[in-house]
Amino acid sequence: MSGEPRETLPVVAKGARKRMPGRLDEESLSAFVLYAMIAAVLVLISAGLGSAFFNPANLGSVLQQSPEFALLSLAMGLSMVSGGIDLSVIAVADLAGILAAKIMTTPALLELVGQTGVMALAVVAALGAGLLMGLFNGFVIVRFGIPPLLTTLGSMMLFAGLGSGLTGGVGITGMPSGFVGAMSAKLGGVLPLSFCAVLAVFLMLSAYVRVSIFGKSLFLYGENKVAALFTGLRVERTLVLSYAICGVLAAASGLIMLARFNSMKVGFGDAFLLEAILVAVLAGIDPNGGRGRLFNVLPTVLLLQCVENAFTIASLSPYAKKMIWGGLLLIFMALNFFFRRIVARRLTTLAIRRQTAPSHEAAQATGS
Amino acid sequence: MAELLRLEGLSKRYIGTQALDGVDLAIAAGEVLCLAGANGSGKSTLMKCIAGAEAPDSGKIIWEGRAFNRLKPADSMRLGIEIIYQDLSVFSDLSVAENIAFHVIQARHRAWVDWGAVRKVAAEALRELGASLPLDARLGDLPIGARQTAAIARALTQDCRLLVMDEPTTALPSRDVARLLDMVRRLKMKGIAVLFVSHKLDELFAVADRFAVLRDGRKIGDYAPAELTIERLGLLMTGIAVKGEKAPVEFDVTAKPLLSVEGLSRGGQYHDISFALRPGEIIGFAGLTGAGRTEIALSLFGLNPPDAGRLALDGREVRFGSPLEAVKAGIVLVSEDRHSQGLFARRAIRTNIASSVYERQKDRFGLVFGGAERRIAERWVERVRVKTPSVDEPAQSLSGGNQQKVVLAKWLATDPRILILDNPTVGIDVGSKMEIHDIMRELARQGRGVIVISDDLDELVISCNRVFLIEAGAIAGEFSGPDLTVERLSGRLRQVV
Repeated sequence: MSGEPRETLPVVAKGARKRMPGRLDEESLSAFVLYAMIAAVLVLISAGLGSAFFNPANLGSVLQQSPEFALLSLAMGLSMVSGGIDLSVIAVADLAGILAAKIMTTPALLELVGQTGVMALAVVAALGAGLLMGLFNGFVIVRFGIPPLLTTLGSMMLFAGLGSGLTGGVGITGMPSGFVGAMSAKLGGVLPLSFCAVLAVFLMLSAYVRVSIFGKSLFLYGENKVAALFTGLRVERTLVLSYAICGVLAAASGLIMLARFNSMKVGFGDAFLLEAILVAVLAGIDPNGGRGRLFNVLPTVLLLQCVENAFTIASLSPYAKKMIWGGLLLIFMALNFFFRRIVARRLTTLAIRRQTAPSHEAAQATGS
Repeated sequence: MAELLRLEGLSKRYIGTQALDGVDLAIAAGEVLCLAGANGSGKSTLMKCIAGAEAPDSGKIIWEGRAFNRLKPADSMRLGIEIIYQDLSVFSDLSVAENIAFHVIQARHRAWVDWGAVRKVAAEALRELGASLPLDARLGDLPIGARQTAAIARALTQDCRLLVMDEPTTALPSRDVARLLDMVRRLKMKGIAVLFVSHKLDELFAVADRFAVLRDGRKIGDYAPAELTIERLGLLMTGIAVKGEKAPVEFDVTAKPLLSVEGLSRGGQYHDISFALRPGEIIGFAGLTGAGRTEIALSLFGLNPPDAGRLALDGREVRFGSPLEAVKAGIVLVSEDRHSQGLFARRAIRTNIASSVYERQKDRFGLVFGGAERRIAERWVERVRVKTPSVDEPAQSLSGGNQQKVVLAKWLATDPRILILDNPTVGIDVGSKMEIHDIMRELARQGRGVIVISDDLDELVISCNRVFLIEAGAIAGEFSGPDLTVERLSGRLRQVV
């Protein structure tokens, strides 16, 4: 029986596409939910506030205010792709910012290389420090097998401690005017330069993650760690690199904060930590790893900034603000998880239907 | 005998498998029924339905005339159904008495534990079983047989009426088996029904009233022990109906070995494993679960590094520190558990297949574009006949057999020289099973080496040139040519036990 050549089964049958609608893509679906919610919120705001919100000055301020938080959320999202988390992002941003501030406020250096030189030196040093701190996180996670949550909790304290030691806990102020001025620079007089830079970072990183072996391996590792190992992916290298990128992003965020506030100290932006986690999840990045589109972090951050500004314009009390804020986040999450469940259920049904089809054919093939 | 439990038309599906397909089963009070079936035949699912851990999709569970669509765990306990799982689910750090009389400890409305009652209840249960255990010993310190006895005694104290035992003899030394059978006889006399669920039921011939055989989720039939022999039971379980012909691929026995393994050992797992795999040869590893077959395969694949021994590829000694190195050298492993080790379930088929060749596909900047991924995937989907409308579908949406073909395609895409397959056809449909056998032979014909680990002796016999019997971590026998038959292998396997 088995020796007989069996009829070739239709493989990539064109007709099958209609009978069994396949492409149930969780990622597209959660992106759809996200954009639908953004649209809904914008409609609500425009109904409630109209041109009080939708004027160039306010929209510009939304863009102006989001870059540092966008970068921190992107770093958080990236660490979540592998199923991990990076709690040290704020500490890295602060320490990198402190380093840059120290360099720019050292008179001897300023004399030696000039204002532009000292700024370049500060930026390179901050980004380099971020890279090192990220590498450190990744190395500890990979080499000692400590869960990312604990590793980065520890390194968060370590980096914050280092920052306190460097500054004695006081803020460093008085950055060169060129550095602070870069923050308020606008492209074509409309778009804030800082936002354009962040947008470029988002575009490049999300494209890189999509087509690079690093990115593909990272997502596969997040999806199934054991299978990634069994497939012969370079798991360790991938993980270390992902935390290194987190470090650099956090450091860049630290530089933006430094430029905006013209000052830096330990504990700056601590409140961003939990919000960054929430934003990453809202943007559709699966905290269990393996799913999500990094780029969607940016619109999510902008959405939250819009809501924030709308609250301010409507002059809501801080208490009401907090309440509405929490409620919104919960609704977002609930919708996202609800839709995700539906997709999972549909996939199950689909697999069962496909399962029953071949068993029929098999029964005919064996003549039973 | 009064009928206690009856299952009618029980069906249950999971993603990729029809685990149960209209199963009828009845058991009377005081009856000892053995439910036999190979891995993936649906016996665990059946047991879970009885335990209330799973709800059947359709069918009825009838307990003393009362029909249920499903049982919940609490129902099943209330009715007097006790399940002893293979791992026994005992508290290793508690004493024997505490384990047996756990319900006394749990009793509500009491501020403290009545230790006198605990000891009394435990001693009584052991007496009824005709067993003696030190009541105050820590259970984890006792051997497996004693732990099992404690688990049975615990069931007795819960007013058990149906005792279900999962693989009760698999890990048991033979002297403990006799003791188990003795206990079962006593339970029977008390009117307690006993359901053994196992793929290894030879010892149970002495005590069983009836055998029921499951295969691929369907019940094949009920048999009295008198009308069965061990061979017949084995054939019923593995399925003579779909038995293929013995058709090993010819290969050049004088060719230089592709892979030679000499004295490979790893403490506590396997020792002194030596064999040579020639181009075009298919070698099988038979043996019991836990005999060390999977561990050897992992060691060949760069995981689970051996302590001693040599591994040579084309006569050159190699040592793999990771699967990546093994894959680069041309050795790949289709692991036993495709869900946790082989598949990225939510990812597209295309990504799954191409994931093994990223390193080869990348350009100067380490980039791989979607087009390359798709080209590779489409070629292999066609080659191994994965049934799917498109390579963009998530792997999760495929049936079990097709998922396995995706895993296979992932490895074939690397153009491997040696394929190791660990139970490649467990839980997949007959059609896919035969296709996978065909693919294995095709690979051998292309001059690749294949190593198959399988619990399905039939599978080994029809495709292998040689089969090694692995017993307690060592090669205990080699079968080839006319010696290589299911009867011979299963006869030898039984002696092992």
